[in-house]
Amino acid sequence: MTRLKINHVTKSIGNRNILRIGNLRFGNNGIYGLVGPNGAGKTTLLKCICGLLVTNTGDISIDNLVLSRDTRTDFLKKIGSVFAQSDSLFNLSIKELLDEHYFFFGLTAPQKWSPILENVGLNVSENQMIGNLSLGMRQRLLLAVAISHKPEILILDEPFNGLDPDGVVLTKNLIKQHSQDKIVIITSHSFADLNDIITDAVVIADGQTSCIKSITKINEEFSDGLMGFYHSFINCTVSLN
Amino acid sequence: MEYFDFEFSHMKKMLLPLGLTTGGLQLLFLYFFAIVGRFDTEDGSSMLTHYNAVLALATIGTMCVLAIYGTVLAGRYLVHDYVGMNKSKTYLLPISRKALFYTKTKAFTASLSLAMAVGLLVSNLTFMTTDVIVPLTKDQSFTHILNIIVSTIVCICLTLTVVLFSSFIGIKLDSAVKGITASIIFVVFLSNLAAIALMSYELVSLLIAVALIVIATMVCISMGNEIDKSEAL
Repeated sequence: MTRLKINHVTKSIGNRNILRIGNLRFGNNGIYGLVGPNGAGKTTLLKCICGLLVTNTGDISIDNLVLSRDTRTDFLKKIGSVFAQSDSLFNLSIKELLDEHYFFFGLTAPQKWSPILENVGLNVSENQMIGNLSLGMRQRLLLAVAISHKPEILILDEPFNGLDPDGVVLTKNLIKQHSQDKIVIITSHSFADLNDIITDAVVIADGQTSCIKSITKINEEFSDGLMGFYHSFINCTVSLN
Repeated sequence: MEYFDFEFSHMKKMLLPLGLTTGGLQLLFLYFFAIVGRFDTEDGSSMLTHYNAVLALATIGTMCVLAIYGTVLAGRYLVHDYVGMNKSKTYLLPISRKALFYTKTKAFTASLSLAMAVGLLVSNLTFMTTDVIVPLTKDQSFTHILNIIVSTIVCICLTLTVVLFSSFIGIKLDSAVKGITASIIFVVFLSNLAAIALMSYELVSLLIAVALIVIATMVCISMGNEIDKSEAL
């Protein structure tokens, strides 16, 4: 079973302390909701897991593989991710993006990309430029790319942004399917979107995280569920700076 | 090699426009300077009536335009992947960042050099042949092949140097536009010096051009190391 461990990680940018995580273990397969207010350090933490940011202290590991500059390539093979969309995608066609992803992940490209696109509800030509797609369609495409290599850990930063109601339902179903034997870490500001999908939650505020709690326990402990867990943690955190 | 082929296949689409631009510009500059030379009777040395001077000036003219055009293309095919939020997409690929940067740079360099070499050789040979049939310069003959080869190598090396240095500045300053600005500044500084050197000291200019490429390669290696350590904020 894949286990993602985050041990005593700190991260500062300039003179500002951004993260101070004690110990987080994502042990069981499931969907972990990472919730917190704006600027709490959610994206920073996810970027640290993907090696996009280098931690000042502590280590991040998947099973026995500790993330470092030497192991980064192997680490990234185990991760699928959707972050905020960059404009480098806009000048690519759908086919070019998928070609690149399949090539670098060592996958055999199919004859046609349409089944992969249809899987995320995209009925568009593979030759269409990504810049011509709507925000929601691009989000679906990025999800298709992120899950295409069947990653052991799927990291989704605000995956419901720009999605229409059908898109939200479809994305949730895809995430649920993927989480059956994998770890999914998901951030969203919409508790409504998270509530009916996540199995566990962790709150992050001022760069510090709560313990990971199952959604069943949260509902038992707090009358208003995830919202109660969220508020109880952010009210007791002290700023790092 | 597999990665190189993949990157090169993406950059192939710039070969034709780049080759045609190179060839067209070089022919235009060659005929322009040769025709100006025929009407230039005031200059005591009649510099522009000599084949080598016409070739040198035309080559530097082409180099100036291509250095800027090449930097624009580098902005699209190379710098773009290493600036702003685009870095995340590049850094998430499961390949050594350094190796990927070197492969992209090599593929871009190969594409630019190939297109320029073909464009310059075809246009220079065309001009040399027509100059023998319809003389525009005083010393027309088929024996200028060596000059053509040297000027082609110098032009490619200088263009690559400007394009690579400008691209590295663009990556360092996190902006493709700043890279293009740098290329314009480089061209302004380099063009006069290069023209004088190529007209008077061909061998020296060849050595300097090759030395600049060696320096650009060393800067590229250091840039790769920096990219390997960098973060995508």
